Amino acid sequence: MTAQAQIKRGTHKASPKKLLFGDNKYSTSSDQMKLFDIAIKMRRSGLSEDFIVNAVKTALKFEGVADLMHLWLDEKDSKERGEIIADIQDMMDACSQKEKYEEIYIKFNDLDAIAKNIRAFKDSLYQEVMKRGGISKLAEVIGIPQPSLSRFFNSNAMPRRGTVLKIAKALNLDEIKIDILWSK
Amino acid sequence: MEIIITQWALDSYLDLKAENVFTHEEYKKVLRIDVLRLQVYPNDSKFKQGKFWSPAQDRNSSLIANGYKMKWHQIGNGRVQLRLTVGIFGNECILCEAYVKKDDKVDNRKLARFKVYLDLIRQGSYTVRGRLT
Repeated sequence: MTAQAQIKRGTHKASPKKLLFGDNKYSTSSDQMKLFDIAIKMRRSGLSEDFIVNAVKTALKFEGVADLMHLWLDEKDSKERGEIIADIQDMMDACSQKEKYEEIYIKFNDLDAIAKNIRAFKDSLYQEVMKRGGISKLAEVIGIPQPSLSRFFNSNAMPRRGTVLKIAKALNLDEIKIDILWSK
Repeated sequence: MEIIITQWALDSYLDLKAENVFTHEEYKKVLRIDVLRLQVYPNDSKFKQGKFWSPAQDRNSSLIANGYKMKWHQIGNGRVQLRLTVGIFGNECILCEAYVKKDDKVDNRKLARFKVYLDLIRQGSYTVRGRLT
């Protein structure tokens, strides 16, 4: 049956409203309103405006980030909510990359040494953070949510250069303290 | 098929290794060998085993385009469930992220991340750290 015939019979379903922002399949106006509702709840929970605005902007383009925002809304456990916030920050960082890069290939046998190098760097940076007021204070100053910073220091993943620079700037660290061979 | 190692996959490997999720032996004799099966994808009987390989689904049980999960059960001393998300595009198998599936909450989060990775791969915004051969 054609759409016209359906309209005549009164069985026609209107297609979702045109996109307001973004260009993913998620972005019908009603889906977007849900994101704005979540954004308001995030603000009430104490997350910074910058983080929330960036999260919504990214979610309008990347369905996975919108999914994370919904998971945050449905989650009651504060620790798990923190993990979701750290995921959203990770994805905002990942989405800021605009090109494809072929970085230096790493040999499997070098991985242990690289892991040690990263761990040592993060431990040393963490000491600097603790000397200057701790993670919560740093989170406030640089506008990265605390769960995300905790993940940064606890994980063994390569540190993102942008994050290292933000921390260095906030702590007024010299170049030697932020020198790391392996970063992304 | 070419097996591409992304920065995301490398980071997750570094994390899992540091947490001693699997032993060196398990990596060499189980995990690596299974991942290398992707070279002949889908012509390896293991890809027909749902317990080992399945299309990825999001929190609403919708299929994630181009997305698959490689699965291991009872890995490491902690006997955990390990997952590796893989994007398949033409003749490339792109390794995205490995993680321990502690519960459905972790799985939902990781699959949301996976959706983002696949979108970034489609738009050509990702980092290659190597090829598995």
